[in-house]
Amino acid sequence: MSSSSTTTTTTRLLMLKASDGVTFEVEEAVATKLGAINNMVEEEGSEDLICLPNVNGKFLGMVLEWCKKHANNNTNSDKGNDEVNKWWDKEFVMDLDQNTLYHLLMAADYLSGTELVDLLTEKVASMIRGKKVEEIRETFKIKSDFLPGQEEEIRKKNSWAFE
Amino acid sequence: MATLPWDSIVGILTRLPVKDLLRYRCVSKPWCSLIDGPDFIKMHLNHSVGTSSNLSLIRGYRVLHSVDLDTLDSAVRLTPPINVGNEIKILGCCNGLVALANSSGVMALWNPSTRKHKKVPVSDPNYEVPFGVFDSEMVGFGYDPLNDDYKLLRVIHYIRIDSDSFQSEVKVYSLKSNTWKRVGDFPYQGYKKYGIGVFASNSLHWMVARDHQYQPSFSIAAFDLVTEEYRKISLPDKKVSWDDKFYTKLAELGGWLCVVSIYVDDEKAEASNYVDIWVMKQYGVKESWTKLFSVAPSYVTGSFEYAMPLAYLKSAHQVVLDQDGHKFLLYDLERKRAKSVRKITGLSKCFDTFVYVRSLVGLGGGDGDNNGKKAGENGNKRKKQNQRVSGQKRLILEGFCWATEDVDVVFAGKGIRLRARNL
Repeated sequence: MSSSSTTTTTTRLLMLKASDGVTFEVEEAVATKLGAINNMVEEEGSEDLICLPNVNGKFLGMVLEWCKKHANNNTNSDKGNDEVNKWWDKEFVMDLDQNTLYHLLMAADYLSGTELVDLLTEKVASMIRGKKVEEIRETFKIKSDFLPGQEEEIRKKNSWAFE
Repeated sequence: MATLPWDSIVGILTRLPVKDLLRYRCVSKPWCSLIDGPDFIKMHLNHSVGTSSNLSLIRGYRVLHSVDLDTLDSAVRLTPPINVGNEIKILGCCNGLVALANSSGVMALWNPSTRKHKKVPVSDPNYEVPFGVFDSEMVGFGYDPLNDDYKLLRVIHYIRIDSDSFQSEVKVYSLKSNTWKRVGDFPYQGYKKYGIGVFASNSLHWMVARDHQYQPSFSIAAFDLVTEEYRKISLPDKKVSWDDKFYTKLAELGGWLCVVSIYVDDEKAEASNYVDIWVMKQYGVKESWTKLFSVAPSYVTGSFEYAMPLAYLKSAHQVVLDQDGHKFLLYDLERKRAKSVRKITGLSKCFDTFVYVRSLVGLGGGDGDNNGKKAGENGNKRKKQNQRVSGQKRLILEGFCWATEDVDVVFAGKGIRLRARNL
């Protein structure tokens, strides 16, 4: 990462190691956008290598890509920033397939990247609006556990919602 | 294929519209009990309020319509749960529940998003007031977070003809107990007051005015739904010149108590009306009144009689305003200008527009109407009174809804009726 700004403080670099051994070198300011890493840095202080056994390299890389973009955008105290971030977020989630989306959401959740969790959760929500019950079961791999007749009973209560 | 942890699923579901959630109760038992659970209902509500999403407008007198605030494109006709009669009146909206009353005095709490309702038992006015003549009525609807209860307030003001003094009867209906109880009398007697209370910061608010030698003095009367006590709240200090003509209305905007001053200049053309919108950023602190913005006629708005703020869309930094009861004005808070004006086909002019959040909030066990007694027929003598408040500065006292009308109040034995009548 090239930080060409004329800041006098040297940026500390952290080494993040994913479950599959892939490592990423990231500026502290970028990585600490993730609550979990922020906590580790504050608690463990001098440790530069952080192992993340619950996230694999592919998804950690994507999470960090998102962090970098947001960290960079936020250094400019421009008013249009919000819009830049929004636009970039849209691009980021646009073409994600369901599997990637789920893994990414779990990774972001594990790393306490609250804003990213929000973004991804909203994306999944937008994909399941206005669906049929069967489609939802399919999407989330859920088997109905209702006894015969029970489901019908529930449907009847709000039959208008199925129209 | 990955399966998501339960917490993630809960997060996703809090972002869905009510209609989807009612359908997805059928997905599985855990989904059904999640969606029906009070914690989820609160999470869903808080998410909608926090992101200003799932908001709708509701309005009408004989026919009720709702409009999705996100799209502001079409009106949907609603089927109210009580007989409309001559007219149906919205008494307030809170957390997705709408309080309604019809012209026979039947009241109900209703969630238009789940289509569930509960009739409010009839509470007869107290006839103990001797020589009392009905003066005016105030109502209000809101939420008491301490007791997790929804409350409907009704104040009936009487004038005692024997002593020319005022008396009031204040009753609070609690959804939880499904009963009315009498609370302390309205303490600001001798004030002109009526209308629908504005709910903000756990309290209901009304404008009250007292005539002092043709110089009306205004303030805000508040009733705290938690403590069930009254208090007065000061209006913002604003410079008023002698020939300023304006009237003041209350509203709620983004959780703040809001004062709207509508300046009228009838000497010039109508085109010079404009509005100032003030919000009390720290509830109860007079110094925290802040002028949020003003709307003056522009090429976007054209001239208008009034504009009342309806909703603050936080992420878009926009405020939606009701312009003259038949158009919707979008105001951009960042650029400080009116952005656009929308007119929605099928909506007729209406002075009472409310905003409700589409929520799953329930009405307790029975969704039916088994708790509602039948409203009484027209009982005793009717006493009609037309009320109008005016003063040197031609300030017009407003509760919430009567902008340019006289208010015609009918006392009909078992129910109080309010009717707005065009002049």
